[in-house]
Amino acid sequence: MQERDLVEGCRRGDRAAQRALYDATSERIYRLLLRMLRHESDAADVMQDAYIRAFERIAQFQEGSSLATWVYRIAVNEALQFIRRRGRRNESSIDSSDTHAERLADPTDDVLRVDLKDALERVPEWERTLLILRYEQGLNYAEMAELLEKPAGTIASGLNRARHMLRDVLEPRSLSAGEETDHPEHPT
Amino acid sequence: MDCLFVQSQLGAMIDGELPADQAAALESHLQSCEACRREQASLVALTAGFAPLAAEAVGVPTSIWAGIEARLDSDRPVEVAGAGASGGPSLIYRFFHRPLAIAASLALLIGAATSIGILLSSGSRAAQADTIDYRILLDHVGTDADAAVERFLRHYKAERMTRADILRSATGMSFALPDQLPGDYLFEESYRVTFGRGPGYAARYRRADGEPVFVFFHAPMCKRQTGVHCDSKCALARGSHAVTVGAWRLIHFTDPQTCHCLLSRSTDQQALRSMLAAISPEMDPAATATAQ
Repeated sequence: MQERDLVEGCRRGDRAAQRALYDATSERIYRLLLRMLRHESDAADVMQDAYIRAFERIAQFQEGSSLATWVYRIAVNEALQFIRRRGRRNESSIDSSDTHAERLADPTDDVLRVDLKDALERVPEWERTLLILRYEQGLNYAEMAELLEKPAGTIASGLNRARHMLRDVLEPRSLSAGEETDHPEHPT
Repeated sequence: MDCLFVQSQLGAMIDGELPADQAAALESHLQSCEACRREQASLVALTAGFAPLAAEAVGVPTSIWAGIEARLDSDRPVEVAGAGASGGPSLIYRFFHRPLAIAASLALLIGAATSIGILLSSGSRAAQADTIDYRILLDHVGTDADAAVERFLRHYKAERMTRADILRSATGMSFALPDQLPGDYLFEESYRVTFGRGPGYAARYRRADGEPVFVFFHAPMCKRQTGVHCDSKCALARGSHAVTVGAWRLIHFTDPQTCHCLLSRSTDQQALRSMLAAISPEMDPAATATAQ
């Protein structure tokens, strides 16, 4: 179904058009929400909300832009609103109760090599969102800035921070007292 | 160009986001700095690790579309032929009852603000009932109250709104959102929600130990206490009802303009009465309801 037909069909509330739009976009959006929210039930809930909102607002879609991108943006905003509402609830990974800060601060940990997916779950939500959008979803800084409604400089500095946080979780720690961590040399 | 600056730019360089002249300057530094080259290699390896993640197949649960469809179907207008006995709008009560997982739990349905228009001819507008399904909240409140409230707010399209904006926009309703509720619950956040076609409002308060209290407001049906529901006896105030779900109590006080709902785990009757009175200007905290 051509995009114009999809839009017109969704505006009419045609179920086949709505289903076609969903089929064309759902895998990418579900993957994104799963990474951002970390829990399947939350991703499912937010995904439902996102599509309902998209169908409700289809009249506002501007011809000439990408319908898939438009739905994607709604999903990202729904996820970010969900994250903000989650507020002071403790953030914990599915398998571990340690927060990122606690893991970094604990000097008695042995090797903390975990795979990337586990490591992402230990990165704070905002930084995790930036990493996912840039390296898994493939958005450039300008696209991320528009999507997240932040200046490009904020995106760049946030990604810097996010990369370091992720690396701190991924790389093994010192195993015994007296071992020094590797510091880059700073020539004078 | 010192190493600290170069290393701060390496990520953007790897991402292809630097202007050509800046990228060239960094390349020049990298040619003579092993430490920065190591840092570059580390970042390249880090970001390359996302490739398998991006290629990973993720199955979308079929239940998601089923849920979307169910919500699309529930939003379709319901056509009702005929008129009420008075010739004016009739009111349709919908009763939901389903056993809840937690002991002593009850289902509650509250009719919201607008009445229901009736089809008088094929050209008339369709009827649509406005209801608030508190099962969405109560079914999960015992497991995680914050999550249950979030789910409820999300279902009813909550949007964050300041108290000042809420009080300005809530014309025709009568409620209060103080800075603090009795029991040292401090205001945290407030929302505008959409109950059918009518507006509603919600807010979260929290004590220093993290214990939350939630309040919800919406217009009552027919300017009187109505609705087919099951509830427990509540002697907090005349016109009040309560639903108990485990340790949580959802208490309603309804006056002609507003239904005020309070969700709390407090077992102190006096404290609950005080909290309800704090959000319900029309409530007389000294008067108690007769047994229901």
